Amino acid sequence: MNYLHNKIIAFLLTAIFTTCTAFSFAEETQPEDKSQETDINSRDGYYLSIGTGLGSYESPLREEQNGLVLVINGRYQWKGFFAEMGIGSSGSFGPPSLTTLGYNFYGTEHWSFDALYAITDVAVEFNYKVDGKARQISALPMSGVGFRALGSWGNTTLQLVGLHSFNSEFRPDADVGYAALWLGHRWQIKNWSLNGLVGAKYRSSSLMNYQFGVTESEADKVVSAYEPASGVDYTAQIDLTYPIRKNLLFQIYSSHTQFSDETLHSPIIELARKWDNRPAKEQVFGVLVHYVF
Amino acid sequence: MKNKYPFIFAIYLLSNVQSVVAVEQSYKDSIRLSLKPKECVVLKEGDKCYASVKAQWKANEPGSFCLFRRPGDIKMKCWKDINEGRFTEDLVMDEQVDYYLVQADSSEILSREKITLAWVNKKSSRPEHTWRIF
Repeated sequence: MNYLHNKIIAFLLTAIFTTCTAFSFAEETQPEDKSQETDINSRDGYYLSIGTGLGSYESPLREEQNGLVLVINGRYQWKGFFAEMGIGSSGSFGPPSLTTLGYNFYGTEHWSFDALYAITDVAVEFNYKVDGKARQISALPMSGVGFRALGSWGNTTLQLVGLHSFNSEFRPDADVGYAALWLGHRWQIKNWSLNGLVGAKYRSSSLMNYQFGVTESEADKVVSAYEPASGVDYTAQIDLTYPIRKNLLFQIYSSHTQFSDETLHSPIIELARKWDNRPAKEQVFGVLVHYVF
Repeated sequence: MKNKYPFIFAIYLLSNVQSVVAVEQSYKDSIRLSLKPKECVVLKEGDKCYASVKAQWKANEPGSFCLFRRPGDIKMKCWKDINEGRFTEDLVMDEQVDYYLVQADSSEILSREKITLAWVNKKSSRPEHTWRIF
């Protein structure tokens, strides 16, 4: 199984590098003005939006949340170096934040490539009692370094991410890999924008084990030991956006995630689902107004 | 004393002409064109913007006027012997659009208003939401 995981990670990272190299070569052979392209692709500057509204979140991983939602999206780039932050971002407003630091090292008319450090998930925490004693199984968010390639053709975008974690809590010999592929398209209907996004997230067995596994030492009579294989989660998201003013956006969104069997079969998740009556699929819905600075 | 009368007549004529010019200027100044909306907003720079335009004009006295739209200097509608008018249309715009009112028998622009085009996100090869997904 580990051989297969290594192959998948190697394939994804190779695909990103190959894409980068191939498009670099292709762009260089075109007689277009490179300085002009650089201007088009430069993202130096900032973006900040703060949104609020009503939302509902239900997931097998976390407690159900309903009510007021706060969403903050920020990005600052200087000479290619960037920092990104998402608090309560669409599709995952339950978790607290996503953070990325990186360098946008190459950009063409259609492609942009980043080297980055990213925190991609949030902490998993499971609290329960055994013989009256409080127990907790928890894992820090997955963080790692890697590459991101973003292709853009008009209103269609393709994003590839490959990350390798150096988290000291993982076994030193473990290959902890994370890869994601996202495809999005925006349709303009009068002044409304309908955005569709589908994606797949791959987690290596080591990462799955870190997040959803139970070691022999952690196991007790309530939670049995579990060592998951790698898994792929699939997400589909749709949102409808309307610009009320040039700095005010109205948004309705809905996202749906199907987790891998390896995740759902984790005794932590199975018990949490049973006790909290959590669903097998993650569903997010929100109606928000964003102020864009 | 004999030469005094032509001089007085000239002053009389001049004052009359000035009065006519002043009245005409006042009449032109009284013509007001108003537009809704003043601004059309899209999500991203480069998107086409859809607007239901309502134009309305008023003058102190009846006259003959035509409403034009720029770019293209397209004649949208004309009115005859009337002191107010309305015009509506569904517009698809990708740049600022001006509407102006002219007198039917001349090309002089009497009143002009514009609908500006604005966007939330500037044109970029990378959509702003990309960092939200991992």
